[in-house]
Amino acid sequence: MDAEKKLGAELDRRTLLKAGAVAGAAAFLAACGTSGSSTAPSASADGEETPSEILNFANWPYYIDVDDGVDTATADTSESLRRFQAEYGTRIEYQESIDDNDTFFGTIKAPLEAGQDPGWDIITPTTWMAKKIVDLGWAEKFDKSHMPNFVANLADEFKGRTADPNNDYLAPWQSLMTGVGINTAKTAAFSTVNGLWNPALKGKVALLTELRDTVGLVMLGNGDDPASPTRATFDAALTTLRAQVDSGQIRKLSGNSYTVLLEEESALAAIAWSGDIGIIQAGKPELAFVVPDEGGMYATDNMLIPKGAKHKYTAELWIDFYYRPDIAAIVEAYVQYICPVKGAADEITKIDPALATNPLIFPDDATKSRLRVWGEVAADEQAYFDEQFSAFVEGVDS
Amino acid sequence: MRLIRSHPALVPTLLLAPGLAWLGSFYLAPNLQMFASSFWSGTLEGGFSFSLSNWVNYPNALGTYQEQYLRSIQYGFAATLLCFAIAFPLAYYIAFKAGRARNILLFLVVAPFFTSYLLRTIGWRTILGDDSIVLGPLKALGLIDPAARILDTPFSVVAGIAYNFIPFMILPIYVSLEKIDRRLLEAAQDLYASSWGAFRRITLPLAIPGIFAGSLLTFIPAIGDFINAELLGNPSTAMIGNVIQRQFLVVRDYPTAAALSFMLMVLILAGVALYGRLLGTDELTSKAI
Repeated sequence: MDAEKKLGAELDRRTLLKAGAVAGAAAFLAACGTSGSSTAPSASADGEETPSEILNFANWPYYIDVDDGVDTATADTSESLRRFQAEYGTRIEYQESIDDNDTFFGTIKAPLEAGQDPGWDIITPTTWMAKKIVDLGWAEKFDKSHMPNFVANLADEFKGRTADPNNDYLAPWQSLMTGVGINTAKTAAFSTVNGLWNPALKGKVALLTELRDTVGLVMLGNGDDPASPTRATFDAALTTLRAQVDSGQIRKLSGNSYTVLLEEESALAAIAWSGDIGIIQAGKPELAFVVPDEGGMYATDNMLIPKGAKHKYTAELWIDFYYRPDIAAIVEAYVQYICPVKGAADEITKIDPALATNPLIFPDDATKSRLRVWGEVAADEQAYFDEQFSAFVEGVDS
Repeated sequence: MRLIRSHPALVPTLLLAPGLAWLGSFYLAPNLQMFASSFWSGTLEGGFSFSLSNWVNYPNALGTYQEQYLRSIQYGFAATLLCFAIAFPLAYYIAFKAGRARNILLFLVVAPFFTSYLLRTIGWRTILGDDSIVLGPLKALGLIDPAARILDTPFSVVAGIAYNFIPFMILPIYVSLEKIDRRLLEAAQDLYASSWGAFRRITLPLAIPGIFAGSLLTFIPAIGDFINAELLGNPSTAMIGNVIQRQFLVVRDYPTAAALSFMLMVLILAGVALYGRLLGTDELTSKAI
């Protein structure tokens, strides 16, 4: 009885504290406005103004430069991480821990909810997920006085985004195109979404478990616009997907590990992210990336400092470091996605002039005009999409 | 020490304490928490609230996912049978025929455990792949359809589960066979039993505790497994473990996930109880342990 009472009392206190913190933060935000420079040190920085010994960085696979002949990026095998360590003495504990936005969020949700350190100083969710984390109050606000390069070199397209109008929480890492990856040695090349449903590819197609990428692309194939999804166009896309699973056309639904399926050739075509194909091409030149005739999807992954991160200051230093054009160019030359850092194009020519004209890194205007960003919809509508897509992934009949 | 001397009756309690504390903290408490959350409704963003009227979570979850439950039982059952078919002859050989090689063979049974579960399972993608050492030559000889595959099918999932849990079947059966008093078999022969007769009347009945323990140790983890269906399956082979994992970590519908987990647990407990009853538990479990 006593223990129960005590627990109850403590919970109440905790709730109160939380509510107080939220109110305080709101007041703080209101007071700061956009005038900027009068920044008070944030609570978790705790006067920490020297770089920490380590920095925990969770990122997607194939998403930072690595040395030739090395498979995984660590503080020892990545030039950009090594340079950061040389300059600041911070060893970046880099982990390819994000395979899927939802799944990764599931792993950090419990500590964030409890107000604890989630174990990461930097994570790189896609914008829609990043917005969700910011809206839940689970992101640290940048102290931009530590980040002059970020302020100066952020590409204009990322200013005033609805997810983060003042660039206070999100620092774009890479933008990516979603299209189709094809093993042109084992199957005839094609350039449409619906080419994935060619019977010759039966049992050899892999799709992403990311709703916006997979459903978005299939909507484009159906002649619908994923920039303004509706129940009707969503349902139509899902009907197509279910039919292709039932017929055995689709072999796997997976996260970023579709790259493994393409490499081992258990999949000969897949819904794919541009840069992944760019990287695998080095060892498997027969892989081609196509922005389909019907159009492709476009999205951005963003660096974000989760609430309660142990090394906020160092995380800000790293973000700013990345926003130096020469560092961004090092990363870009390897990952081959679309870079958010102004001036990186000039730097990349110094590394390899061919890269500066690579359509995966610098898509031409004609390609860009075919790219669509998934249109965010009202919460209950999104809940319906999520539920239906999840049932599809779980193999539940509608 | 003085306490124990003055109250010897405390000894069993003290001996039990670590185990009870462990069970309480890591079994009972999480299960109570899970049971409570199965009566929630709401969302992560909006918060969850508890109400007994949310018992409908159970029939709803069961209605939606009965196919996955059924599939898990089928796959678990198939994998357990497969394990038994492989494990019994092997355990018999090790116990009765292996001689000095016995320890080496036992070590080989356990050796795969020195590698990560995930890596071992991913390894099967290479072995069973569409143009692998298994299918490649058959396709080259024109013996099977070039489009034939075993990877990412129900077969590969069941095979993966059987492979991963087979030591749990081999070891208990081996232990029960090894314990058999050889003089019983000699006596049977003296009394003109055929070797099949001796096997059927002596070896097999005495091995039943091992078979009982082995099949439970295989079936229980097999039915809740999600790694094999994830790595070696296709979109139509999702097991209930995959659904629970997704509901907890991806969809974050905790009430449904909790209801599904709880029903799975009840299903397993009921199955075990029935199985024990069929084989006459008391004597068996005491021997098996």
